[in-house]
Amino acid sequence: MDDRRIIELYFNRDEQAIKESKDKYGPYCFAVAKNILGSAEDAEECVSTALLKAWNSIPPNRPGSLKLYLAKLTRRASLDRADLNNALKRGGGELPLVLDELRETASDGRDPLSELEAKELASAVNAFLRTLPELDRNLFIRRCFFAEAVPDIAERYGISRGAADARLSRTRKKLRAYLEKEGLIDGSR
Amino acid sequence: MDPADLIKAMGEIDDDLIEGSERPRGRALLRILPIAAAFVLVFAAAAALMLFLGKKGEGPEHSANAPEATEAAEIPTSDPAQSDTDLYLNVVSTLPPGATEVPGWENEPVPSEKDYVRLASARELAGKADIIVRARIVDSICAYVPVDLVKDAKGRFMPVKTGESTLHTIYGIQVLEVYKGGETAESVKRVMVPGGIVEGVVQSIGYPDYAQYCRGGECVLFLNLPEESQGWIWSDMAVPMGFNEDRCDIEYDGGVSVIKCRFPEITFDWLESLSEGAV
Repeated sequence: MDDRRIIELYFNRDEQAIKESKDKYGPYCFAVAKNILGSAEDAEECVSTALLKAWNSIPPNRPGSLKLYLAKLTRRASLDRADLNNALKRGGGELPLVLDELRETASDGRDPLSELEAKELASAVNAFLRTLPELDRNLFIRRCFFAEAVPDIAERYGISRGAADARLSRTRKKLRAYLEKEGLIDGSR
Repeated sequence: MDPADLIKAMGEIDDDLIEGSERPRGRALLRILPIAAAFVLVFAAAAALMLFLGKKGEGPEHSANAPEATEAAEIPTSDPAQSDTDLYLNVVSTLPPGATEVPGWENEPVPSEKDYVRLASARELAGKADIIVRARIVDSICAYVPVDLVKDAKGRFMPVKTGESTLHTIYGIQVLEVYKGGETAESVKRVMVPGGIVEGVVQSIGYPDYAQYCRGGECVLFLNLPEESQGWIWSDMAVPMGFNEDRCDIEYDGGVSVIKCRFPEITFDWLESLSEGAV
């Protein structure tokens, strides 16, 4: 079914919307959650949570892309479930690896961000991504948004794993420099 | 801040950025396939030509070297009548074996062993190639692509044209090493390029969004891209290639941007001049 029609079902409060969403984007959302969590069971639950959140948020929201809207909800549900602060200890999925990779980029020993700072950070990350070459940007998004494994990303873009690793590393360094420049990271630490 | 904050912030990135990363698997391969096919054809043609020349019996020294020589591709010029005097430029690797960094390229991916095309030995080169250029291309998809350089009719060193269907845009060539050939194995000389000479040949091959013209050492590159994309092309492509603001002017005109750079063409004289610093 066409996305527009599915969204209309949401607006008409027709529960068929959830079924149609699940049929169309369930596997996609499952992959997003599975990358982050590693566990198929947990991933299934996160997809269900995301669909429920979609039901509760459309309307008033009218997503431009239902697929990405569901992907973001799934990602958020997966991160909540992963318990980011303990993900490194718990292992499983790509998330601990991604967090570990970002340690040098983001750590500055300061307290967790306030809500306002978090918004500023999101805005800065968006702006930063737009400065990147397309390939570097896409690699970074696949790694840090979708938590995809590096070999899979390399295959997707037809480059070697080494090249993907090197580009990701370079992007992380650029991001660190960018965030320091924007005053979001304390560069002296 | 800690990594978790960053991970959360990534969840707020714009949809168009995420959508842009959704390239179906295998599409990149399809884009590269025509180039790979072209390279295979070029190498096959070169090997066939070498076999043909070997059968004609161009002297005992040549025949004795033939089996090894097939590993070092020779690219003939289009006019066989001139082949005795023309330069045959050989391939080409990305970094010297064992090297991990080239100045100015520290952050570029280091190719794996399989990416190397073995440089011909002095014995193989004797009497065959006058100059070997080891270089890599900076192009629109990969950071490096092994490349054959051949001398064109005007005496310029240009990358082998890989076919009209090629989608790659070549931004430049980084010359890493130059070997001078000679009549005998002993006379083949390795010319060190101090600090990794960076020079540019900008050439667009069959890519609709790019057009580029070079004449008399001046190239004009038209990029049909939004202005915001120019930043990375400049910082990631042009600057590492040795282009700088003294050498290039950038003009934005609606959707089409013009980068006009002046730089020396890679000519035989230029390559010759490199040998002056050889130890």
